[in-house]
Amino acid sequence: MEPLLSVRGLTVTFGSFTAVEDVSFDIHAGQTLAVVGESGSGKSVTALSIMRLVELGTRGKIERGEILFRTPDGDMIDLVQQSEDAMRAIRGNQISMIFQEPLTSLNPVYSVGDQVAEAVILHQGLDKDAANERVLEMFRLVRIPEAEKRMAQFPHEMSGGMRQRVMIAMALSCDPKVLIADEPTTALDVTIQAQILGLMRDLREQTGAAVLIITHDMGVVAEVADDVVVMNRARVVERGSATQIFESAAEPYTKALLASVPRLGSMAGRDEPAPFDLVEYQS
Amino acid sequence: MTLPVTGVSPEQGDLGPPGRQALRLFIRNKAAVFGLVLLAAIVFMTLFGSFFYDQDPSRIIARPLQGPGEGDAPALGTDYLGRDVLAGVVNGGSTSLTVALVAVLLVAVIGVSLGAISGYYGGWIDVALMRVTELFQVLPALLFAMVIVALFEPSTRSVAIAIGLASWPQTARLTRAEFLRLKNLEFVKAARASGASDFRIIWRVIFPNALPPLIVSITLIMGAAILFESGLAFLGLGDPNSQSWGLMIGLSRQTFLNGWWTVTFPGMAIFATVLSFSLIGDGLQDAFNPKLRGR
Amino acid sequence: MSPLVEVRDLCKHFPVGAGATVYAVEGVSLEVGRGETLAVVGESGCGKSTLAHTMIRLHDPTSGQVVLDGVDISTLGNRALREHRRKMQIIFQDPFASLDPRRPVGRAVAEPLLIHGLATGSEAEDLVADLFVKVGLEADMMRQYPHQFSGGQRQRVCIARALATNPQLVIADEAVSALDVSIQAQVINLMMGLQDELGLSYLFISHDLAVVERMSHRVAVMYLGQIVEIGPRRAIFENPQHSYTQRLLDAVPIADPRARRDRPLLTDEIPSPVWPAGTSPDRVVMREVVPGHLVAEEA
Repeated sequence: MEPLLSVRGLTVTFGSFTAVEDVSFDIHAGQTLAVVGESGSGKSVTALSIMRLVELGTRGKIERGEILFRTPDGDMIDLVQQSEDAMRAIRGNQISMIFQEPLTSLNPVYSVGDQVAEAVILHQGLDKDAANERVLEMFRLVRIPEAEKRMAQFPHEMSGGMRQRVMIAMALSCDPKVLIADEPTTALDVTIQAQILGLMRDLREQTGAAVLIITHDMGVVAEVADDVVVMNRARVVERGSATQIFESAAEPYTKALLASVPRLGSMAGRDEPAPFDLVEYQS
Repeated sequence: MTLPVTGVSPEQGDLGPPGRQALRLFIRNKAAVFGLVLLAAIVFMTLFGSFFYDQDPSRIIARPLQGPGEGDAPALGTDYLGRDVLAGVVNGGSTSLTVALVAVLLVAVIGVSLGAISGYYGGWIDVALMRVTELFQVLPALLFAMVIVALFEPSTRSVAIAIGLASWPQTARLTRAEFLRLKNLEFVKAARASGASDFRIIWRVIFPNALPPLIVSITLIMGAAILFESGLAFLGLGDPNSQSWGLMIGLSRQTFLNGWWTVTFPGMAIFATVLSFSLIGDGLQDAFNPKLRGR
Repeated sequence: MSPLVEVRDLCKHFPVGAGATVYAVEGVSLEVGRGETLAVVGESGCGKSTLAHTMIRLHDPTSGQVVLDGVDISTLGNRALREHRRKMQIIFQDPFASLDPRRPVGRAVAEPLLIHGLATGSEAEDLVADLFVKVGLEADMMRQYPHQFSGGQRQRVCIARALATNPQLVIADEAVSALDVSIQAQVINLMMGLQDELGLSYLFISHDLAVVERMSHRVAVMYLGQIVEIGPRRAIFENPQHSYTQRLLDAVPIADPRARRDRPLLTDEIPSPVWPAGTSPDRVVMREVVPGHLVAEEA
C-alpha cells in the first residue's frame, strides 16, 4: 500500500548546525509511528519540518529531502515545495499537531470552545452555530465530561488532562489525515497519561488517521506504536516494528537506550535495590 | 470517611474570563474606584455642565479680578478681564479631554502597530522600526510638539497630533516587548500549526494577550497628555479660539499675585483629571497582575 | 538502632485567600532508616515536594515534628538549625537552575564547606577535587562554568555539592526526572554506589514508579497530602493494598509492546487539595497488613 506520508532524505540545518540529517520514514493510514530519541536527537525538528514550521521565526532551513503527502484527492505532493499559503490550508486541516504543554498551548483569553470553533470555521467554512455543533461533537468524542458546560470555560479553569483533551479535539476537528503528537503526555501525571494514551489509541481506530508520535519515553512507545524510528544525533539509528525494536534491537545505540529504561516489574522477587545493567555505548 | 480516590476534578472553581477577574479586582480597589468616579464627574461636568451653569466663559460679566464672594463676583471670582472663572472651569475641560483622547488614539494606533510588527517579525524589520522609534524618543517631546504646532496653525487638531506624535514611542516599545515575550509561547505555535495567517496570529492570537499592560500604559499616557496640552496652552500654543484650563492659567500668570483664584481653580481641575487617570491606571495594573488573581 | 529521621504527624498548610487552605501535607508520619532509601511517590499536587521542603525547614511546619538523629529540628532557631542542616542536603530537579551561571562549578561545591567552616582555602580545593572524582567527574572540571556541562554532568555537580558537608540524609526532589533516560540510569547507579560507599540515607521524591522500584528499600504513596500506603518496596509493588496505589501502578506504561493492555477510557481526575473555609480533610486511619506495611482504610 502506498504510504500517506513519506519523508525521504530530510536534512534540516540551523546555521552551521545540522539538526536532522538524511532522515527517511513512511507512515500509512491508520498506523502509529513513534519517533523516539533523547534530547537533541532531532525528533522534534523532524515533526516541525513536516508542518513546515521549522523555518518560521528561527534560522532553521530544510536543506535537502522530500516530504511526500497524499492529499485526499489521491495526489502525492511534496510539502517542501509548497508555498506558505498552500501550507496554511494543509496545517490544522489535513495534518494537525498537538504539543507537549497543555498548560500553555491554549490561548488564555478565549474560551476553549471558541478556540476549537475557530479552527473549524477557518478550514471548513462553517458558520458559528454549525461550528459549535462540531465542537460539541468533538468534545464528546474525546470524552470531556459535561462537554456543553466545558465549552464556555477558559483554559485556566481546566486541569492539564482536560486541556490536552481540548487540544486533541482541536487537532481532530477538521478530520486530518495525519496527527502529529509532540510529547503529548510528557507534562501529564501518570494516571492522566494512561487516559490520554488510551484515548489516542481509541481515536486512531475510530478516525483512521495516521499518528506520528514524538517521544523520549520508551514506555509510551511500547503502549501505542506499531512502528518505531529511533533517532540519535540527527540521524535515524534503527527502524522496525515495535516488537522488533523492543525484543531484538540490532544497533548498539538502541540496545544501550533500552538497557537504561526503567521497567516496572523488573525487580519482582528481589529484596534489595539494584543498579541498572548499563550497556556501554560509544558513538 | 476516607479520601476520595477518583472523581471529576473540582478544578480551580469558576473563575470566568480573565477580563471578568480583572474587573472584580479593580472594583475592590478603593483608590481606583475613586479615580473612576472622579473622572466620571469631570466628564459629566464637561459634557453637561453648561446646562446647569449657563454662562459664556468668554463674556465679560463683572469687574475684573474679584475674588470669590467679593462684590458682584460669581462663585469662583473673575479673571483679569472680568470673565467668570467658574464658567471657564466648567467649559475648559472639553478641549483638554478632546485633545488627550485624540492624541492617545494616535499613540495607540501608531505605537501598537509598529510595536506589534516589529516584535512579531523581528529581523531587519525590527531593527528599522526600532531605529525610527528611538529617533522619536530622543527628540525632546515638548520642543518637538511646539515645532509642530508652530508649523501648522495652533488648533485642537494640530495640538492633538503634536502630542500624539511626541508620545507614541513608549507604547511601541512596550508592545514590541510584549510581542517578543508572547510570540514564542506554545499557543502561538499551536495557532500556526492550525493554519492561522500572520495577520490573524498578530491581532487575534497575540494582541488580546498583550492588552493588559497596554491598557495600563494608555491610561497613564492619557493623564500625561492632559498635562502636555495644558503645558502647550500655558505657553500660548493652544487653540486661541477655545477655552482650556491650560490657556486660563497661561493667560492669568501675569495677574496671579493679584488673584490666586484665576489659576488655582483651573489648576485644580487639571490636577483632578490627571489624578483620576493615574489612580485608574494603578488600579488596572493591580487588577491585571496575575499574582493577585484569585484573592 | 533508632532511625535516622523520624517524622511525626507533620502538617503544612498554606492559606490561599478567601479563607481556603491547601492541606499540602496533612498528618504525615514516617521514618528513614540509616543507609536506607525511602521513596515518596505520588502525582502532582499530592504534597510530596512540600513534605521534603518542610522536612529540611525550607518551610516551617504548621505542626508536627521532624527528629533528625535524636534532635527535633522542627522548632530550632536559625543558628541551631544551621548546625543540623549540614546533616541533610537536598538535590533539586533542575540542575540548570540550581547552579550560578557566572561562577565556576567548583566554587558552588566548595561553598557549603566554607559556610559550615569545615575547610578553608587549599584544603577545600582538595576536598572538592575528591568529591568531583567521587561523583564520576574529573577533578580539573571544577574550574569550568555550568554552561560547559551537560545536564547529567550538572546533576553530578549538584550531588557533589550535596555531599560536601558529609550529610547523613540526602533528599532527592525529582532529582533525575529532567534527565534523558541513559543519563538518568547513570545518575541513579551513581547514587546507589554512593549510598553503599558512604552509608547515606535517601528520601527519594519521585513520580516515576519504575525508577522507584529500582532504587528504594521502602516506599510511601502520597495522595492529597496524606500517606495512603507505606511499606517495603516489594510489598507495595507486588502486593499493593490501597486502590490508589493500584491505580498508580496500573497507569505506568510498560516498556514491552506485548504487555499492552486495554485500558478503560476513564476521565476522572485527582481532586484538588484546596479546601474552602470551614472544611478540612479527614485524617486517614492506617491499618497494618503485615508488620511494616501500612495502608489507609477505605470506605
